[in-house]
Amino acid sequence: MKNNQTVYVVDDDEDVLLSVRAMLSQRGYEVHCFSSAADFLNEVALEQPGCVVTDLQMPQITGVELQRKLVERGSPLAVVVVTGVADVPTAIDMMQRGAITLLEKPYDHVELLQAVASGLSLSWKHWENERSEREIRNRLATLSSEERAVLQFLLKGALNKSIAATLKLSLRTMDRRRRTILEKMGFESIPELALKLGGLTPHGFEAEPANAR
Amino acid sequence: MGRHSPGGKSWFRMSDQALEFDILSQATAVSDEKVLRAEDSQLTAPQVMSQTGSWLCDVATKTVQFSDEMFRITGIDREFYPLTLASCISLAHPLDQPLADEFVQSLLQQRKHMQVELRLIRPDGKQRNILVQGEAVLNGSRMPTQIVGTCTDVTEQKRLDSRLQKLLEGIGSATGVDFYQQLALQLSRFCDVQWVTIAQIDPLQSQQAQTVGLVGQGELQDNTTYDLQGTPCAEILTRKFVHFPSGIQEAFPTDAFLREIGVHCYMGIALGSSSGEQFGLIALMDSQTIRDPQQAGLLLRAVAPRVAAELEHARNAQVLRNSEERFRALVEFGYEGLTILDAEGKIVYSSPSNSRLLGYSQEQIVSQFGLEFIHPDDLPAAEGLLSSLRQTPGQTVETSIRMRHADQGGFRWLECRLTNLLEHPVLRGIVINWRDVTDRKNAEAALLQTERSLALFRQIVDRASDGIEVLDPETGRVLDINDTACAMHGYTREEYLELHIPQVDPTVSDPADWTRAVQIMRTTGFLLHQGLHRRKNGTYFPVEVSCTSLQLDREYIVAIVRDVTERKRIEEAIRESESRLRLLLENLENVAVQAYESDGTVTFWNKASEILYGYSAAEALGSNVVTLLHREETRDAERQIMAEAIASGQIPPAEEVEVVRQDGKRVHVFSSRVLRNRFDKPPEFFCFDVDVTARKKTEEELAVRLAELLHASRLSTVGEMVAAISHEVPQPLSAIGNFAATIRDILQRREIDYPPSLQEFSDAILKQNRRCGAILQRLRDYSRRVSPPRAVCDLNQLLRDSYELMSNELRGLEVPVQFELAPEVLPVYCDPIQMGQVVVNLLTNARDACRDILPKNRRRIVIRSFRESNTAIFEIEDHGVGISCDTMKRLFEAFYTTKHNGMGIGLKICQSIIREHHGQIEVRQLAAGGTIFRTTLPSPQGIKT
Repeated sequence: MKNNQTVYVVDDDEDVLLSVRAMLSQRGYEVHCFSSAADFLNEVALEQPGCVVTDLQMPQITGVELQRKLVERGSPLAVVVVTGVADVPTAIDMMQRGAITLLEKPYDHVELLQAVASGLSLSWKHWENERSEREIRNRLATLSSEERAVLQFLLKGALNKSIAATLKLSLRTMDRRRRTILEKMGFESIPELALKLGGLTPHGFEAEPANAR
Repeated sequence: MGRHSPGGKSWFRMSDQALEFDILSQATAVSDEKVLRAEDSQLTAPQVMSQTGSWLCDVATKTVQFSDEMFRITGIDREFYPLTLASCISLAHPLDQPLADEFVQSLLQQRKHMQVELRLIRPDGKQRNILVQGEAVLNGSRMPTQIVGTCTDVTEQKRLDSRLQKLLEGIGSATGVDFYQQLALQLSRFCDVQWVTIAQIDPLQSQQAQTVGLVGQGELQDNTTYDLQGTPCAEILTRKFVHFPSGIQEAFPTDAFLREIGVHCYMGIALGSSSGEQFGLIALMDSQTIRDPQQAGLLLRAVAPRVAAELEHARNAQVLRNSEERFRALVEFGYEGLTILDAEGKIVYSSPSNSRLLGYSQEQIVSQFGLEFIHPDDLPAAEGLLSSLRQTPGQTVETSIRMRHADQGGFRWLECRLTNLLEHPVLRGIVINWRDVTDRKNAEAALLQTERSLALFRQIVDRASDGIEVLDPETGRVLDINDTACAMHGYTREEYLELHIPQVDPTVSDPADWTRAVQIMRTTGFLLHQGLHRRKNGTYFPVEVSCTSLQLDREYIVAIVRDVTERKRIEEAIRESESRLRLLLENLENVAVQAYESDGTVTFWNKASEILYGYSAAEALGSNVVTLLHREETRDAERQIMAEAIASGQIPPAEEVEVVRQDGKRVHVFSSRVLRNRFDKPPEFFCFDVDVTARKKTEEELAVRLAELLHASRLSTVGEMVAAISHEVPQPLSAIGNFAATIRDILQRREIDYPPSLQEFSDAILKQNRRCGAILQRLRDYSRRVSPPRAVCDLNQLLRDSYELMSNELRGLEVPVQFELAPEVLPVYCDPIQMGQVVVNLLTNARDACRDILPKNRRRIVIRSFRESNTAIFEIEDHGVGISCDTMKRLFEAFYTTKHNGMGIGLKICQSIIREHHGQIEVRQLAAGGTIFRTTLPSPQGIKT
């Protein structure tokens, strides 16, 4: 099993913690247990991908609040909720905020395993998307304003000649700038770059990228 | 009773001319007026002043004219009253009307001036006494054409008359010293003075006065003799009448007695003998001025002649007594025999008549001892008499004694008068005058025998509890009466014997009535009548009289008079108490009262019964109460109860019963009965019913609500337990599932050797685990499905209703509950039963917290409600034991309790219910001890309905 398959279990019931740890460890996951949400929030680096299996009813910070905090911090961690009793509004609320699933105790262990597995994969996918997005963004930031202007026309599919004419550039300057842009962005061709940028404009994202979340 | 009054018959009018206040002068003046013409208006003023009116009657037409004053006296309305002779006569008291009639007839026949005193009954019911005078006016042929006259209101005068009469009655028939003393007492009372002196002047020493009646401070005082010099009494003897309204002490500074008794006012009158000598006085003295000096003066003048007469009589009697004694010593009349004994008792002389009367010769008797002839029975008395007579010379004694007759051997009764003349120079012996009274004695003895039996009879008659009167059938005169009758009417025997029956019994005041009554007695032999008898003092008392006509030597009427005052009083009291009770029972509100015979026949049915049962009294009376009010099924049982009550005399205890109204509706009444025993009939029932239908309904409703609440409470408890279980159990179950899954994973990897069944078992654990999950799921689904009905309720009402359910218990524990509810309606959207359950739960906790608090007056629960922004809040505050810190933390935890038999679910339920209602419940400790549970509920506007 990959060592980046980290699962965090939060439950105020020690026996439940122990049983979940045993089951998931057996399956090869790296399991970290916390008896309270506060402990979890203090000790875990939330920007890392992973899966959180949390109880709902807990003293002080409840499962609902825990999820809300993760969302607030933009954490890639996937959330699987297990609960003794869940009312329908709470369940809907949590699902809308991106919980993988909500399992009522006593759950079928297969369901939990599936939920953890899909949570982890989603979390990683999300984390990786974010990472590439962040890289493109960083590269975009290195472009000069002239380069940006050129890129804008390029992404619209304009020809070098017309761009040069519009921007009152020489063709040679135009070509040089095109090469610099591709170099800075780390792409071989403009269509490749355009594909990767997606909804991004040279000035940044125009809209949230449609990712799996 | 009217009476002819020729020129003032009443004796006090004869008082001497010196009277300063002659109240009769008015009347006299009137009588001097010969003819008064009614239409002469000039006479009006004098008429008013003298209270005398004039009248005129036309003989031919029998019409009458009145002067204005006449209208005032009679009190009749001149507009409406027809003035005829007959109508005028009818103004008189019914008993006096014959007199009035007679007066008019006499005037017409005798044609001279006449007068009559009548009682007048005015239209306003007041009685006046009038003196009517009249005279016929004759025409040329000496026939009367008119009668003219006057009429004087003498009521006031009569009143004074009767006062005097009373005063004299007070003295009664007293004579001698008693007379003076009684008079003095009466004067003191009537004139309201502290001191009254009646004194006579010593005939030998004219400066000395001797009191015969002395009253001081309303009490009789011992008589005394005093010196007249310098006293107001001396003044009387010269001035005849004196009156010092005040300052008497200053006027007579030497009179110590006046100062001693502290009087300032003095009124006195002299008493003159028939020869004109002033030989006594009456004086009134007081510390205050006499209240009514005119009347007092009048009274003194009225009684003075009587006292003077009494004094003179006493004086004359004394003079007579003195001379008689002297006369008797010298001359003895009527004695037939004379015997003289010597000092030793030997006969020294016997008159010749002795031999004739006793049969002894001189020889036989002289020198014998006188005592030898005396009857042995009389001897001791005679010896005693003689020896005592011997001791006192000059004394005379009288005795009756039996002396032996010489021939006949028998005894003769002698009446003897013995005089000790042993010291008489001539006689020197005891002189005995005697006469033979044997025949008289025998007659007396015979008479005594009859008298004894008569006396016995008399005693019996006198002691009878009823009054007995023997009356003359013709005149109604009282011939004989017993003591009881005298006592009953307040007369002495002598006074009573002077009376005629109409004076006692006003029902026969008309002679015709008496005649009629006697006629009935003669024909039927008996007459029983109930009425009033008049006492001497003018009061009346109720009597029952049975009269019979007896024919002995002549006809007598015997009347047996029973004083029924007491009986009447008791009857009246019974009547009054009965009417009071009846009124009470009749008008008792909300208590239906019925009375019925032992067979159920209704005899009484009050208004409340009419209202409660729908039957009017007219319908109910005479009907049977059992068929009236009881359902067919219960009638026999009811009759049984009544029969047993009558047999045992014991009424079953008051109880709640169901009866049927007239309209068929059933009502619950709290019915208590009373059995009234009657001596002549079977007992009757009194039944008092109070309608308790409404109360009963309320009680039932309350019971239903309590049951609902209990049911809800049970359901909630179960629900809450399910909820708790389905929250708690999943934890271990999920752990078990996880462990089992882990074991299976390990086994599947086959890294170790194990029996093949192990995998089966772990699969079985997982399967059972899933089954548990399914069961829990079903439980959860079930508890979610129960969604109680909700509505908008008034929180205040809810609090009051919930308290009502607990109130009995709280009262029993002496925990006062104080309400501090919001004045306005506090609407909340809730399930009233669940919310009620919360309140009852909290109140129960509060009660338990207060239960052990001492002193009792510290125990207190406050139920409070108020609005805060858009929430409604209620608080249950108890001043009880409070909650410990440990408990506080776990207060709302399920199955946590501090009570011995508590389940630890109550507050949990409260919390769940309040949360389901989107509210919250908080708890706070009071510094002074105790707890406040505050429940906040959203207002209905904020909730989707």
